[in-house]
Amino acid sequence: MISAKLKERLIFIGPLIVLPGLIVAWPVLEVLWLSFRNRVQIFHIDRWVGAANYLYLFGEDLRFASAVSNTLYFTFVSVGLEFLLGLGFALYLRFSPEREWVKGMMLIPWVIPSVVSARLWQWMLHAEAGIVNYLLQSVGLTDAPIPWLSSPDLALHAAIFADVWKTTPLMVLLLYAGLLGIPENLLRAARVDRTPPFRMLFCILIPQLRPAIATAVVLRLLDAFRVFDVIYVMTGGGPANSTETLSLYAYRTYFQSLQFGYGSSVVVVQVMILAGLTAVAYRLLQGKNPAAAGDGPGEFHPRRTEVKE
Amino acid sequence: MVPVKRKPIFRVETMARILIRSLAVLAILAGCARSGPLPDENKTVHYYQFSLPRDREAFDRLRTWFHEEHPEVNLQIHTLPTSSDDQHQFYLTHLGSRSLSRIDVFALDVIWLAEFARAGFLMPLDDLFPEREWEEFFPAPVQAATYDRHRYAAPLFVDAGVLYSRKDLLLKHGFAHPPKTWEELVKASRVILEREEDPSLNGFVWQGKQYEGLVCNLIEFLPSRNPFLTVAESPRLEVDRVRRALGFMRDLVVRFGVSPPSVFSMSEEESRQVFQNGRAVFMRNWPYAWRLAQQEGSPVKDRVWLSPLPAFAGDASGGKGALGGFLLGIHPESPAREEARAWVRFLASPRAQRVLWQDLGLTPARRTVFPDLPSRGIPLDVLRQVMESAVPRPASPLYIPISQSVQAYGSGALAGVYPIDRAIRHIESDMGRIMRVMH
Repeated sequence: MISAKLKERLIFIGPLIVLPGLIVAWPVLEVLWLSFRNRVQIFHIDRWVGAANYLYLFGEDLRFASAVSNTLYFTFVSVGLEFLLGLGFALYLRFSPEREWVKGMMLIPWVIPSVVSARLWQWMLHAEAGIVNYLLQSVGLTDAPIPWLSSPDLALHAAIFADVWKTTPLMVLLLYAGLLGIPENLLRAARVDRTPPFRMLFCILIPQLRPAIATAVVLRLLDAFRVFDVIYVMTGGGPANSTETLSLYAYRTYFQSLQFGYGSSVVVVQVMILAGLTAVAYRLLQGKNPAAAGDGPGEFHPRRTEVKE
Repeated sequence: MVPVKRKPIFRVETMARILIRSLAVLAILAGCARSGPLPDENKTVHYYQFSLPRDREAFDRLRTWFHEEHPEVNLQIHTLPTSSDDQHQFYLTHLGSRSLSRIDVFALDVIWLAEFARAGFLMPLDDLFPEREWEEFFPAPVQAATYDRHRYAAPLFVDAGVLYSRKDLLLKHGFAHPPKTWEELVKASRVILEREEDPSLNGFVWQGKQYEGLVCNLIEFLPSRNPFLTVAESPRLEVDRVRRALGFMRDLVVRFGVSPPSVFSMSEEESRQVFQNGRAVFMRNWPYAWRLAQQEGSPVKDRVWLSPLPAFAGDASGGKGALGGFLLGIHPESPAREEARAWVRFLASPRAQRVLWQDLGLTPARRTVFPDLPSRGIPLDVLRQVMESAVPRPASPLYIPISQSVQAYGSGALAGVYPIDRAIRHIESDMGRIMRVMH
């Protein structure tokens, strides 16, 4: 029978295994199971089709291929921009005086619900009635209105822009918190040594920030890869599917076309790409953790809030 | 940096108290709504429909009349969100599992009929009217209500694509009437654009955005009345017809230069704004735009012609608009079947159809009411002619996924992302996958 020790362990760990099992593993397995079937509930069709869904998905489905590339493009460009802007603003907040009101202002886009901000940008970028084109035209930068949301080349960039506008504050917040965690004596020492600013940034601040960067970037990667609301509201996936992301394609296949089997195979592939992406990102960013590389945990001091300029 | 002192705006207890109080009030209100003698559920008809501005008054009137005829029936009218996608989803969830809420009669978009009929959400209504009375309706909505040789719904109202032309511009440049063929429309647009020399003026605006409206436009550009999808044992895409229609739509922008590239992102309202602001000579739209173009303050007031859509030269069948509008269906498991049928018959009656037109502007599906209809400022003869010749979209239970594929790849072909032939190949292979579901 089960040894007493194991029994004791099971009592404590058991609920922890069962609960996530019920709310995470079971639905995931259900979706995996569905992805090998053809299920259209309302017509009472439910049949095992083997790998047929996946064969079509990877073989002939142009919409899927473009959804994958749109999603990856959206993810990398928006997270990249958000990171660069976020780092810039975080450094500004950390090393410049009078930042209380700036901090407040910075948070405004993040406070607005995504659907509202997407609608806002949709109207501002409207080709004929939008303020962006109006300004560009009145300044004389363009003659004809720029079709931000109706040109297949521009629409995805417009969506990226709206997303960057909205989520950069989150990046700022996370990186700013990371910057506050950098020991003050490290910075003082650097100042005493008259470290040039770039060296300070690349050799002190960024290595120290690595854990915060890893958290922020992975968080945003996960979020951006599942993007739905911004695009659903701004372009609906058009024009010509140039902005259709995997989430949008899955949603359409599930809830508009009611093809539960095929929709599940889309979602399974999406989850797998996402898992791979997260693993790679985490490995890259966490790999050379300064704490692990010899600085030792002793270097970390409780956060200091006074800065003497 | 000076540590910031934070003062909590709300204390937790206050919040909790507010929450508990409002919940209590809600519970009491809910209790009030439930009190009173319960009506006989077997005499109750739950009717679900779209929402429109001011539909309340019109339906209150209709309900009163209906109660005069059928005092025993308790009628409950429920309204759904405006978005057609939301309504579709609501029906799919609620008609599929009857436990959620009871739906006896419901208004459904013409394109959902085949899907709902195949799913068993609709009761055959062949004997709702005698055959002679069915003929009082326009043929297109009756055809749209037919699936597998049975009529599953009664027409509520109809809609179809029409052409709006700028009367003043056409007359000024020597065109005495709206174009009857697409070739004439292109020629007139080019002549007017050339002579007006107004850079903000466009020739012809229509709806090329990636959405259901694109399929309606596509149908109207088909070289004949035949559908783009043959709905038989195994549905087939009519490749040649689709290629010609898509080719012409792209040519309107690229080769003839009469439509601006922004049509590829226009839905009804965007094109109406362009036309109503006087920046287009022609517009394809639904009849609703007429009232708005003619209202006080509209820059094109009294300068617009309404006419049926053009046909291609040599097409004897004439122009055609894609059929829109709603039908009325009854759920087969409704416990109040006779009462439900009475309500459907009533809404499709000449009296109710006239109210829907007068109060809400919904075009009657019953053509026999047209002769003594108040005009509401719209040329009724044109409207009747358009509805008479409207063509329904293909009646397949899988219409929605097929249409989505057509919207996606059609829009890609129009915007020039890939060639038309490649778009058609992708639509065909998508259809193959979608169809395999059924067999």
